[in-house]
Amino acid sequence: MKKRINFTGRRKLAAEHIEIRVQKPEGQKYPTFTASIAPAAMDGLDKNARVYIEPYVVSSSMRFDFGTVSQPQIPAETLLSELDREESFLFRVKVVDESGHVGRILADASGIRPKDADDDGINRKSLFPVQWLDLGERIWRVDLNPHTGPVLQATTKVPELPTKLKNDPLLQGVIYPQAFREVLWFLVREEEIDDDLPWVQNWRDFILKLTGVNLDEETPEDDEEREQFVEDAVKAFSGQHNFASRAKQFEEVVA
Amino acid sequence: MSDLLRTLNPDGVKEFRQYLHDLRGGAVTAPPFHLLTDPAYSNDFSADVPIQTQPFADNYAFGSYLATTLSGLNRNQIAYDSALWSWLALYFFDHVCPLENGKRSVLEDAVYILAETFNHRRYYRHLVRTPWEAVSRNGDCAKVLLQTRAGGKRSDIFEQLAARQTIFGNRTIIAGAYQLYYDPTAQLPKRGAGGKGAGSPRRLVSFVQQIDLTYDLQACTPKQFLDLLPKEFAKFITVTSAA
Repeated sequence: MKKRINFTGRRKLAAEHIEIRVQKPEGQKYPTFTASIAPAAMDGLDKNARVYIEPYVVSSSMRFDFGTVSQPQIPAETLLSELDREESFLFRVKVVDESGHVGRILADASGIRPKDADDDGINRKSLFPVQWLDLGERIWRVDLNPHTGPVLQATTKVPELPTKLKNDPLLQGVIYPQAFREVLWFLVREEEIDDDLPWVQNWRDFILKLTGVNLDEETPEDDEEREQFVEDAVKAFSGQHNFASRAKQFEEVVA
Repeated sequence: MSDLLRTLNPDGVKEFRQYLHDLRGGAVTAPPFHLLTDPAYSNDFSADVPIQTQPFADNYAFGSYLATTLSGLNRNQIAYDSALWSWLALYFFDHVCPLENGKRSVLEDAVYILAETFNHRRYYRHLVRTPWEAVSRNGDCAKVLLQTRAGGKRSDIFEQLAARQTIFGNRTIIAGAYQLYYDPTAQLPKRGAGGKGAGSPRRLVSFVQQIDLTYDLQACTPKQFLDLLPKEFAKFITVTSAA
């Protein structure tokens, strides 16, 4: 199993106790957010510990002070102005000891997806978000961040690419299985992944349904086993999406 | 003689961009300073802020001047004002793209023309906004980011620490880096502070990324942060005492 990085004994805040909503008021350049944390989430924590909420995306983040465990406060301004893009924000809630062992995180929750204004209350889980970027001469790459999860990055230089990637099974079949392969290797080989992060659990759930392999209980032990696991999973993924058959049909229709 | 702060409008930005393009193509024309005041290319700023060109010893001195000059303005109003930062880059063009041996070594557009939408990877490269932000946030400690031993514009310390927003925006880490890598007596970064080995800024970044899961470094003092560092950083800590 993967190594758990929790040598300070920090507690996990239950995601269901935290509700974050992002709004973009008309005419405003940047969105704002609201957050509410159910008191039950804070049970047993030091009353003087400070609560911070940190929206983040890829390598950018901001920080907002929400008071203490016993005296929550809403910041005067929650403008999300210093994040690299407006889509796919995630949030981290931290409860921090600032009186005893200063700086130690007593409890946290990462990878929290905000609810949109039109959200009916069900968090949408984007397993593998796509980010459009200037990638120089590269068409795509996978950004593998152990804290935020994998992101498929694609070039903004080809204006038709978003539509093609959505509709063309040939292009999908060329990109997605290879990108999926990179994520699988990351999951079975990266030792600094925190098992409790939502993105890790979401990926493991997906892999369990796809392959029947429960990575929470069994992890390929050596490179040979990993290679076999990854190969089987990519084959199952490609089979699930019928890339080759759909590409053939698509070409026939286009022709 | 001082001027009043203004902003470049889209036509001004377009002309400035064209000038950068021409420079890269080998043109030796003077910077289009007329854009700075021509109402067809620039607008009045929302407040009367006097500003003056002058020689700056280094980027810390430049950042200090900007931090002082812009200190009366609302940070959130100016921090993302691309028209303002692009105007300032043209205004201080002789500092950010100096004429050396009759030529200017022009860099990518992003270091002069600030993108309209925030993206830290692009924003941190801006040659006016970043010195301002570094000094505004970190005061004297910004010296570790903005001064170089070799006299170039950017050091490896800067690239390692400023490229990552979570580090650049964290005063504790920058203050810790100042104590690790800056020699206040020599008023320069310490020798060996730009390498890749044990105790280097690269290693500091790795350590910060690891400890981020268990410690909130913004809540720590620089001393508390330095106390968390592994032994490999001791060679830098012992040279100057941590405050």
